[in-house]
Amino acid sequence: MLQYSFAALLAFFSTPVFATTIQSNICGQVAAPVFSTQNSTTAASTTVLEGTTTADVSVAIKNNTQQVATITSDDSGDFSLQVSLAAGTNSFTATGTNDCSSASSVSPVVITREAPTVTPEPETPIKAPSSQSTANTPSDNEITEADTEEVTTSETTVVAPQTIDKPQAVALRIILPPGVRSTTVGSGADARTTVRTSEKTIYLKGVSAPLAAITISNNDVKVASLTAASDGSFGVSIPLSGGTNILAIEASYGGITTTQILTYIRSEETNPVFIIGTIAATALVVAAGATIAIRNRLQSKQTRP
Amino acid sequence: MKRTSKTIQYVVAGIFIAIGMLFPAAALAADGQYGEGDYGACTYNTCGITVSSSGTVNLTIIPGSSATCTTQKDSVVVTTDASTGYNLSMNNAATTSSLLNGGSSIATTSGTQVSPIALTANTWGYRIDGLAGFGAGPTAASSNTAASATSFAGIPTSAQPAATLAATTVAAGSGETTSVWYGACANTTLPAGTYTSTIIYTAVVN
Repeated sequence: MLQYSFAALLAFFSTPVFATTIQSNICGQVAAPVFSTQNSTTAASTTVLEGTTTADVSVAIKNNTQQVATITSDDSGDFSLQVSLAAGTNSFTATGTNDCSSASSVSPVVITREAPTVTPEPETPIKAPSSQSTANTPSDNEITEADTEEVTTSETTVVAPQTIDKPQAVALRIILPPGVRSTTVGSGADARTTVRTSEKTIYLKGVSAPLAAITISNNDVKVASLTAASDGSFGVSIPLSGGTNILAIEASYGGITTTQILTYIRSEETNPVFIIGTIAATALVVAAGATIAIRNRLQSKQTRP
Repeated sequence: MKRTSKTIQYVVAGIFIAIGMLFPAAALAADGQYGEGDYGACTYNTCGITVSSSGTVNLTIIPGSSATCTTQKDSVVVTTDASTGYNLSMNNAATTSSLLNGGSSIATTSGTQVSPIALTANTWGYRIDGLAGFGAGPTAASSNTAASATSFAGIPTSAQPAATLAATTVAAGSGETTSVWYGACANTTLPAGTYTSTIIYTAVVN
């Protein structure tokens, strides 16, 4: 009797089972992106493209068949980014893609960049400085010695190539719009800036090396990749999720990469009491020796001496 | 007095069971004394049996305004040296048989093995060609097609009796494959996302 019980127990414990997962991925059909940016002619080197497609899809932007950026539409389906303009015709198309379908814009947006008009400057006879003028105190209209160092001449300046022993960082500066409430802890490369917002999408602007490859990840998920303009500027709309969004902005050029971390905390409503609590909390960090900078505006004015 | 006697019986039985679990070899030896039957390659309680399948089944659907369907196969392999064959069954690992995606779901079809039915929008199910009322088939893998007359049955929950997929009477020493076809249909009323469910296959020696 007992032996049969043992057999039953063994049979129970040795019954082979196998689990498999049935997974159905229901994909939304991606709507063809539609640009709201109008065709235009400009002398500027950059422009901002805006458009709409399905929410939360990857949007690849091409200029004359060459891909220039990949961004993510926000939860309303909107996207926008700053793109560089080549001389002549720039025909931009967009393709939205999700896990299982994609759709391309039906109509491209065409931005024609005209070469800037060069007006020849009248030749000005060069006068030797008189002893009288150097003796006087310079007025606002006169050129001082310091100013002359910044005057661009018509001559081509040749800079001798420098010997670089170790890689240098790629310049990268994020420009927050005026009025943004932010908290910065630390300084230099270790600086960590936190911004509180109720916006579902932010437009991230910055300056890096000309034509640097810019990659932006939100909580370790890549949400945009683009190329900085010839003046180093870049801008792209970034959708934010509720709660903490840790944006890692990478600028790469010549095999060198610089990364900046920018944290956005998105809540439906910015609560002043919560902000006060944050300041109180950072005071504890001060006691540990960290540098704290609490700024109402990040833009600073430079004054000439 | 009576209660004490019964308690002692329970305790003694418990001790024997514990010993049996600690020393299974001894238990097997004891079984051997009663194991009159040697059914071919193995005795009745020493037959080996394994079950496996090809793994995750992906049913990707790009839904339209009417039902759009995808059908894919899972190959379930049972290997046993039991000359009496095996019984393969399945049910859902959970107490629901819907494919779940947060608060959204794809319900299992109301069809049964005896009376399977065609899938409608936002339902899913399984079929095995030639079994019970499913019909001969052959079923083929397909993606994003219109709903067809191919019939499917619902998957039983973990609380329901398992559905028998195969019952054999001979050994399957080199492995025997049962093709289980899964189908799902959806329309645009279903929120996009990944809907999942876990199926448990069970194989026992007859």
